[in-house]
Amino acid sequence: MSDDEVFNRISMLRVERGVSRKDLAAALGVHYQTIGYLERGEYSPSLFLALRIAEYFGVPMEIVFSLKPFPRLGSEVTHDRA
Amino acid sequence: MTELDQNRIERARRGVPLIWYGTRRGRQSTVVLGAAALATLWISSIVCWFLAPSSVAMWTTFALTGAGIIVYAWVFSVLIVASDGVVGMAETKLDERQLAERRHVYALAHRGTAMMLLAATVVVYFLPSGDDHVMRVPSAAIALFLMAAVTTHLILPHLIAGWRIPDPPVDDEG
Repeated sequence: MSDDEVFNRISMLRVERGVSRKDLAAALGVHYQTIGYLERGEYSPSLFLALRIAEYFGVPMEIVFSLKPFPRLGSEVTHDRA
Repeated sequence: MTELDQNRIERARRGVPLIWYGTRRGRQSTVVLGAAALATLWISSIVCWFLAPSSVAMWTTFALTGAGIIVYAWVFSVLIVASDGVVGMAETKLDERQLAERRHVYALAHRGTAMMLLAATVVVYFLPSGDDHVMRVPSAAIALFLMAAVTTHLILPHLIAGWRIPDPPVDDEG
């Protein structure tokens, strides 16, 4: 893992909302493969693109992007029960 | 040189089998072919340097350059499809990732051509000249040398882009 890696939940948000990569790319005005590279963590977006992605999904930026890996869904619930 | 557009890339895509541009091995094999095509120009200039003017130099140059052009026409088609216009398309038609990739490719190509010119300078500097310090070089060799240098400058970004491109993400629409 490189130090400047930015983690994101784009694929999760996209699948949850039933949006294809091509639709998201068209809405953001980027190449559809760019969405794939973002989801794979092979490209870190500019601040402008990151803000537009968060705006598209209607969530705060920190919901979509993080400098630390996102916890797995349900892991916090499991932790609280233990 | 005319700028590429998406329609031209799509037309090229229809004529190129996926195995050439869809896999890293295919793309890198294509780049090796392109480098070989480029080498024909450099070899032609060396042949002319030593053998021109002669029919051997002339026919060798025609044969090598012709083969190089035919091979590179194919290589160019594969690389513009593989890079999806990262090199060649107008900047206004690229997104920020593609622009960043283009800048990186051009920076590497600039370093490559700088090294090539440096190597050429060193070679010419150490070539033996006569007692009068005058070097006699066939004009065909100079013309081909310059042609090879300009061609290298023009196509090196394509070759570097083709070599670097990672496999595209799997399409999620089936």
